[in-house]
Amino acid sequence: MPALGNAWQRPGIAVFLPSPGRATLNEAWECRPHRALSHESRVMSRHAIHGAMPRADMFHAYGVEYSGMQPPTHHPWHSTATTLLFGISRRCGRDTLGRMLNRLPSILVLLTLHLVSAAALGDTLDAIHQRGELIWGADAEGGGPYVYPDPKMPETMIGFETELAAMLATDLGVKARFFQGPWHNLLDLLETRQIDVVMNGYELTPARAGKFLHTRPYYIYQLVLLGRKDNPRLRSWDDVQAPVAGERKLKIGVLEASAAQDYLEEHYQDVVEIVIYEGTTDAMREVETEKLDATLADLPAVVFYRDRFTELERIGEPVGRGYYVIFLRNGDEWLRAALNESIGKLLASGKLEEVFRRYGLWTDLQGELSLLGTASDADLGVTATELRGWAVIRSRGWILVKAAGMTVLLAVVAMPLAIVIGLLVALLRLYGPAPLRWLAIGYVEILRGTPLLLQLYVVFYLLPEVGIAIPAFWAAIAGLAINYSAYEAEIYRAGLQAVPRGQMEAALALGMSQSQALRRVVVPQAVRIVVPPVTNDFIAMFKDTSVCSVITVMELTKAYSVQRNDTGATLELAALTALLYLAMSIPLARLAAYLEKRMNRRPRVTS
Amino acid sequence: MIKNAQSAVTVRSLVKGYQGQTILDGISLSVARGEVCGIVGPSGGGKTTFLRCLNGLEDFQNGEVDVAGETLRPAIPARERSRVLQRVRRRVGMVFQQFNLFPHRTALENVIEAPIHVLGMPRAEAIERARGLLDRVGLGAKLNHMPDMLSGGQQQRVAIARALAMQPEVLLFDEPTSALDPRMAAEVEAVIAEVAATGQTMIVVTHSLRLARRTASMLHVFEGGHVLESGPPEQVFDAPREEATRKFLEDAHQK
Repeated sequence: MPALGNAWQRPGIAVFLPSPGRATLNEAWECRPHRALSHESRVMSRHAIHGAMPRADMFHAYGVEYSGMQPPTHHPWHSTATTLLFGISRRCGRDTLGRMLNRLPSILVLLTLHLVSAAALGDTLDAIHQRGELIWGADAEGGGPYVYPDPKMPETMIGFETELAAMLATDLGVKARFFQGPWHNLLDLLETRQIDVVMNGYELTPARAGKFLHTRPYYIYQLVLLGRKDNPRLRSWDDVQAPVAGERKLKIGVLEASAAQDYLEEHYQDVVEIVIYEGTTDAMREVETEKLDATLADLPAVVFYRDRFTELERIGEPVGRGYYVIFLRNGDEWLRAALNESIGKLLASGKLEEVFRRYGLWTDLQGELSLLGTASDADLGVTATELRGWAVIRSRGWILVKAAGMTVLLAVVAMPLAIVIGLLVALLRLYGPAPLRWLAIGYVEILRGTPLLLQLYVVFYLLPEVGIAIPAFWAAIAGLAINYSAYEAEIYRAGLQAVPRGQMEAALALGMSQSQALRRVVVPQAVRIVVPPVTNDFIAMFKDTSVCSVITVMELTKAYSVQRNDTGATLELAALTALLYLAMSIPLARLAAYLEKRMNRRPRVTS
Repeated sequence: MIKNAQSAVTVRSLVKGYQGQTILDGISLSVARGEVCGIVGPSGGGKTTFLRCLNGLEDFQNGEVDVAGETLRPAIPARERSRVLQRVRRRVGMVFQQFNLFPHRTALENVIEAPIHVLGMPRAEAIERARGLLDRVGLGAKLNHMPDMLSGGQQQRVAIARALAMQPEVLLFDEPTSALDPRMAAEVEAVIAEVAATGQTMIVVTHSLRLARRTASMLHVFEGGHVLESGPPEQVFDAPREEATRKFLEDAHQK
């Protein structure tokens, strides 16, 4: 079946990786007998374990330069296991114990993970110094002006974040190493320790603040509404607010899990149709081809791409206001302190301003950056929230269930089409006249030989360029049906060839035309033969519908990805998503078994 | 041979080769109306291929076949050919060595399929006739059996009923008892003999000398793509003119 290997099409890959489940750990920590142990001594002991004493300048940075610091709520990872065991076996209040027992399964999972990984974990700042590299994660795909390949030397990355990373690394006394990752999976990469920090236009949001540490802001962004110059329906924000009665809602594209999405959902949920994209330029192109009325994007992206999308212009004033921050793993207080200090220095020396000016990103607003060194989350207008457990399922579960409905709909509409087209192609290939036969072979080979993803792109993004605009849902149906029809055609070809030749001869000898013989004798027998492999493909298609998210169809995997990104509750949402997929595919497998059995009551014996 | 109104099938100088090998080397023969024409001969002699040329399941390189009011020849354009063949096949029935019943249809459905969908016969009428035919071949009690629930002999009898349902001018049998054990072969033989007795024009290609002797009114011995000898069965069996025929008969009896 179509094998699409890119991890970003399968965000699910990341979901089974360890999720620390901090609430649980904190509770364990709360009932720890020696909780009075000073933070400093714990830090000392942590460094002692790693054979490196904490450096004086780190304390300096911690206590003096960064007064916004709060004592870490998370103890070192390697003591987690002992803590948990100790916490459970020692008394703790009855309530706490009960609560912990409720969470026993997840505790056991975490315990195992922590035991396994404990030895390898230490302070990231130490690791950075040891290896001499700060590994920062970002996505260079459509990444201008943040991080993108240098047009003159495509092997080299440029962009204001690339420069910022270099300057921060220099200040730490190390080199910066760029790590390419899919944008909406960067926090997973962070969590699984493949990168040290995430710095890629990641806005500070309540959910992210609840799950990760972050530095002080390094940029204050605003959102810009981009529309066509010649669109009289959309001249200002007022036009968004008050759509003309009786007319369809304005369609506005946003980047998945971006502040723009949050902004629209918060302020315009009911008056506009929000369409979610994976790449900024996808949405901009869609505005040009009039599939969208506008896109709401971060100012840096708008500045960067203004030359490429000359038919677009800013509509109204920039809105919203938020902060780009660098995200770090919980527990990396030292690294945060060091980075905060460096950002402070770069602001004070004007180096950062120089970079922003060079990229055309400096606005008066940025003057406030230097005042935000000690700002708390509350000062930045963000209340760290952490949704976990049943709370996530309760608040987000129905969104996933709805998206599962879309997944079912896609597969249930696309598969019958694929089967019909596939049968026609197989018949042409086996029984058609020569030119049609070659056409059928070409059809199968081309569609089987190119990825579904590419085909969806062609249907959705390229056909509009030649004047054929298909709504996303139907583009997805068409893409899936056409792609799978090639596979079904081959299955049918095998099935048709498995029908003994004597059957066709017997039918012809009775005076049937070839098409009659196929219709009444050969195809019905072939269908029986192909039921198992076709069912198999049907189940495969259920899962391949996830690829349709690239053309903005909100199906289950996409909904999972969005909600996961929003809440950070990977484990819960992934489990629910997996359950929903199973709930779809298991009945289908049952149905197939039933069909097979029913048909086999009339088995083929003569040859 | 001259085309004559009394013959159901006339074959003139039929030549067929396959991959450089000559299978039929200029065969001419005719089958009179009401005649039961038996074709025997050693394996590889071209018997089955000859039979399949008569209803266009095989094409040939040279010669002509007059059958069912049409003349088959190699030069028929492809577009016309399928229509000509369809007309021929409507009026020429065939019974296969491997029965070739439609496995997804019951015995009755096998028999009514072509009358309804080829001849356009009303369903009720087709069913009534099919019941009669299945009764006639001794399967009146198994109308709704799927083919795989029937023995080989029963399947072959359904196949004969299926062919008869089209009221063919000529009925072709291709080794009808070769895939059957002796007991089942005897059942089928009895049915073929019964059909032959009704005056149905038939061409029976067979290995079974017993079947040939029992049913044929005219016998042709094929060998190496030629007709070795022709004549009434008594003459061919009891007083063969050709040495090769005598040898074939001896070999066949020894088996």
